[in-house]
Amino acid sequence: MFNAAVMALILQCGMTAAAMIIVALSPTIGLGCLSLGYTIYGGTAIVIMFLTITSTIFARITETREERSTIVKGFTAFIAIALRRITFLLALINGVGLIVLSCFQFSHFLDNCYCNASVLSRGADSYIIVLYTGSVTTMRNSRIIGTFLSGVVMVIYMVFIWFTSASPVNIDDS
Amino acid sequence: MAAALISLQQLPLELTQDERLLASIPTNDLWKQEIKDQFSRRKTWSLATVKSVVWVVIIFLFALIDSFVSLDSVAGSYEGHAICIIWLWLPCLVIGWLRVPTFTGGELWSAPRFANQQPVKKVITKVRQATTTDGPPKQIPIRTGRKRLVIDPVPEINEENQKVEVESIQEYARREEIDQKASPLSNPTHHQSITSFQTHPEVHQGHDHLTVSVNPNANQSAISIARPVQPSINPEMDELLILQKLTSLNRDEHRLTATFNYSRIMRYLVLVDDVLTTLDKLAREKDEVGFSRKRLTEVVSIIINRRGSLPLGLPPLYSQRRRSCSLWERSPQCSTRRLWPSFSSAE
Repeated sequence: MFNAAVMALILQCGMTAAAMIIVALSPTIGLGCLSLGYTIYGGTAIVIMFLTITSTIFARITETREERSTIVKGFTAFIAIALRRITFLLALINGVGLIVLSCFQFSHFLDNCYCNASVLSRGADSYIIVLYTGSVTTMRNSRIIGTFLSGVVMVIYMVFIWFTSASPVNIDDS
Repeated sequence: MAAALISLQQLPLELTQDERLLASIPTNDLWKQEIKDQFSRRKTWSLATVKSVVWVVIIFLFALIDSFVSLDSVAGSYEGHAICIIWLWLPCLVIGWLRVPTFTGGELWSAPRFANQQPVKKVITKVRQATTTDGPPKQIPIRTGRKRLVIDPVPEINEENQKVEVESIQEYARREEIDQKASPLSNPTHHQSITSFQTHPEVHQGHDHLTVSVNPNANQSAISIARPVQPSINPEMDELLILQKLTSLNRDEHRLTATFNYSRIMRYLVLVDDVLTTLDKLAREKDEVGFSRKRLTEVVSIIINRRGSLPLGLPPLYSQRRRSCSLWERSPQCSTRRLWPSFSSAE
């Protein structure tokens, strides 16, 4: 369970961080609408994962501790099932939110002055870049870093999956 | 079993240290093969999945190229790139699903159930074929994985033998009644406390004597069983006699034959709970076979106690059905549902 949780965390956080790097380090540098949406998405995903782990822990307590009384077992089971359903609902909302965010992004709904100027983090200091020629190096670097990070995370995850799962051919009954 | 356990790595499994568990006897080879086949299934690569993954990769490359080409020309050109990266966990997850066998809850429960039913079904069909066909009894070969399990034919019961059996059973019943009057511990409700089972072949008026000590605290002669000497029946027949004694309440010859068949099944496949389930089904099919589940459980416990160990592949999932139904589960399958299957013994 620990390995799986850590790998899921690495995959989730790595991808979100890569996207965040690309969005936030592009001028105007700072937390804009899009990067705020990504932050909320990633944070909710992490919360969901920890709640799920808590749910499994409670389920295990319920199932394995034979000496507990019925009331205690019922209580822990209630917590486990409630947490499972809450996290399922949260994950659903989170996924729908990410899809909606992507739709906004594609439809250039967020391509307005407020969002492009990163007013959320810069406040009165915010500005808009009209000509991008001066900041090409920064943008290219941020994109290279983001792509590299996502590729590394993907490779780590794939290697983990490949070497921890059983090969479908070489299953030996021993 | 290793394959099945590896395939279930996304589940929290529990293996107990009970010595009766996962016993590798040739009888359970068929079951093990079934459970391995059931749990080794996985969603393999198909043309559709390959196409989807390739399509995602192509789109990602397009977005990458677009992002780097239009670095300084288009405002907000990073958006497609960012979207591609933030959705990149999805192809990773899909490839992982194709690699790791995953089961939904229903599949997880149906797999051991199916694997449990298969050997029992095969044996039952074989026994039925052997009993319904005329002619001399044949040996019934049943393929169980690598090894070959040979089931002896159901013994022919001619009328004389049947009379003897019926008489002797009536005699047992009388003696049992007497013993029940004598000691309350030999009451059928106390059969759960059977702890030891010993055979003492003694020659006494032409009969073998089987002594079943129901309770170690009680007197040694709680139930005593006499059976006629029959050279045609193999020495393991005493189990069958116990079975007859416990199951044939009305000494009807049809029932006697039926119990013979069932005891055959039970002797060769001690997948206890599933045998009982199957027997329940059969009992429903055949109205003339009247026996209670509880009595059969007693028989199985006797057989287990006598063998010293339970040659059981998987501990019965069903035996916990009454305990596992708790406050929080109200589904109709509540009786067999748990949060996850615990591979631990019931008792």
